[in-house]
Amino acid sequence: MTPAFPVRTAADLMADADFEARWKERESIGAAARAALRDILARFVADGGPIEVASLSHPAGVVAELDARDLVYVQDGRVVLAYPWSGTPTAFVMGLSGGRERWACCAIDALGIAAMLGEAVQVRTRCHHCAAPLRLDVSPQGPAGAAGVMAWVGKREDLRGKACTAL
Amino acid sequence: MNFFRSEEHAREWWEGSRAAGAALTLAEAFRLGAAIFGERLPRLLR
Repeated sequence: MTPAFPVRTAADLMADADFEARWKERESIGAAARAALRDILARFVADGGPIEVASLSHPAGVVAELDARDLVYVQDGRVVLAYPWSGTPTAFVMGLSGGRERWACCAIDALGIAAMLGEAVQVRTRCHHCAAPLRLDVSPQGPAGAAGVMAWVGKREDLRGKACTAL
Repeated sequence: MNFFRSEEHAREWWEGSRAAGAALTLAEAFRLGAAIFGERLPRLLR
């Protein structure tokens, strides 16, 4: 029997036990790691990335804890991504206020940035099937227009180290 | 973790790849992204 094309809702995916377990584990990080992550995310917004670990005013061990919890990805002494931000080019170019451009790690990250920042953003990307350019205007309340556009949420093993991640 | 211009294109891609995962409408994908980065991540950062 041919499997049906899988279409899900956000509620379906957030009800997944692995999703909840992963976030519970992340929420167990200590106060020092939380402070470091706040600073790293602010740096990605303000300046982009990657960020030299040595340039942070936090112990390397704290950054390693964030890496171990899959909240950032450290490579060669640099934080190369801190979800939802990537410090290296991806297929998801984010237009922020003031003409700033950043890269998001993946489609879901790109769509979550407006809610995270509390400001409207633009996502420039391409259809993964035909490569047609897509521009999505997204406010903290949701996307405007772009009727018919869909996103694909893959499995974790596809992603880490390839500038994209699991939920 | 990609976008498709239409469900037809997502379906055609999936029929050729049989990739693991699921498709979401743009509205549902936004709900997921907003829940993660607008709610869970800020809660973690407090």
